[in-house]
Amino acid sequence: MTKYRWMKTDTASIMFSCLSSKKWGRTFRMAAVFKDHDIDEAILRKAAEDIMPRYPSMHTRIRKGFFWNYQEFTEALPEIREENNRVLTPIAMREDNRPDFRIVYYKRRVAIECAHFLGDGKGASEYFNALIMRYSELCDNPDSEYILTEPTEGELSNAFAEYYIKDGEKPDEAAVKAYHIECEMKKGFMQFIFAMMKIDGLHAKAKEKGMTITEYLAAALILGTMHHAGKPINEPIIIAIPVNLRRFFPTESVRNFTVQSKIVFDSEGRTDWTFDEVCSKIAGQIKKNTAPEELQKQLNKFGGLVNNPVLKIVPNFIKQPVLRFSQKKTHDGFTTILTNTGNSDFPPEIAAKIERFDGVNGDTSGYGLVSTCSAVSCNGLFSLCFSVCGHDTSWPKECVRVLSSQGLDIRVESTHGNGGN
Amino acid sequence: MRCKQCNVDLAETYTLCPLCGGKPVDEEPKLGGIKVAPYSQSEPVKESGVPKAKKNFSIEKLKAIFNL
Repeated sequence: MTKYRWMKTDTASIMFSCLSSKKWGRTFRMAAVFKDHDIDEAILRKAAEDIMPRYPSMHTRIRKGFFWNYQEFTEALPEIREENNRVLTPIAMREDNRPDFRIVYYKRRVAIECAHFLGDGKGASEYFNALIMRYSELCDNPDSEYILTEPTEGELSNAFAEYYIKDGEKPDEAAVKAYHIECEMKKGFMQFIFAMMKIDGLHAKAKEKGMTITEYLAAALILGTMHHAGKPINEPIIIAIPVNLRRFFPTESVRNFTVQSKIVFDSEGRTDWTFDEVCSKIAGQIKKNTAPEELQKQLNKFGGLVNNPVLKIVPNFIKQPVLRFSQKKTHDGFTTILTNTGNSDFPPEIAAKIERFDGVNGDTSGYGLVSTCSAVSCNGLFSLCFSVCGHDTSWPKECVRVLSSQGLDIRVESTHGNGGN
Repeated sequence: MRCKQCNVDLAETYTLCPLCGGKPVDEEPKLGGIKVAPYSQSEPVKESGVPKAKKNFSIEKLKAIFNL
């Protein structure tokens, strides 16, 4: 009999998995669109088989334990199928033995849709990039051999635990209720709207304002939010920005290792803000909030929560609702989330075949957030995706109009191509 | 195609702007060279023959279930 293999969830996965049920789970998606090639399922399946031993942490599924959820290793391939009209459906607790992600394709596009407890964007992109590369190699030469490098223990480690300082300083932050976008949410229905632009143009615009691309986009989301509200907003508009901690705390881990930084904007009851004024007000916030000592405090906060001796011994069925409540309270403090996973680099021979990449946030209605954004770039093209929990596209419309009014050339595509169904 | 209200390019196959629902005009896109990557309109098909996870009773599984 094969030995039962499992591992503890990483610290962030504890939070992600507490909200998971049979009907809903926190997910994200990465997609690559090839230039001139329709995806071949048989080759895709072979590529997934070849790279499976290299990425064991992806090939796990979440299970309920008595005290904590945990991840069970599986030797089954993920679900691999053609896409249908429901993109990025929840990956929830199931009874089959497949890992908690799926590979889907449609015409020139291939995507992975992951449960967030498998890892963050950085970790999952290592797997996805490897899948794309192996797929390309097999397309060129079906007999090519896959050179397997063994995964390291470091890749499977819980980096949160490595950097947690017991009794270390925690952030001194009072709970703040953020403005929530007023759009009708429809649970169970998602649409995704992609705004594409040249990365050079976007970078130049951000640089003119002395900002990073992420800050520049956040300014557009903030002004778009105010235009959308159409009335004075009393609560702060708060954009949550996941920060890849690997930049500050080196680790090999391919699991979750991010915390949320924030950009906070107080509209002071005004409705006549200009884009320049918003930019001036928020410039530099990310740099300040991502000083290593501030990030360490966040690590200590999460570590303190999961290492709390009382919380540890509380049975899972009591712990889960408490953690779920804490997650919802946390997300009361955000207007939206803006995830920027940066540039996806490939060797030139692979990059030449790929037209673009998309990053997509999954359903956040479980947190009470109607719409969030995810961004990624590849081959000079920047893709900003608005994930909308419902039919109402009025908020992304205002945000994209802010960007286009700044002189950016933007192309828009949608999963519901003709104005939403 | 372009939406003049939103000032964005749209794929040539789009008859409505996904953002505002407005009718696009037939104009040259400002951001050229991108081919539309359409999304499937097929309804989901219920999967069959999905193997259920095998029940596994072992000391290791007990360690997992009762992990602190």
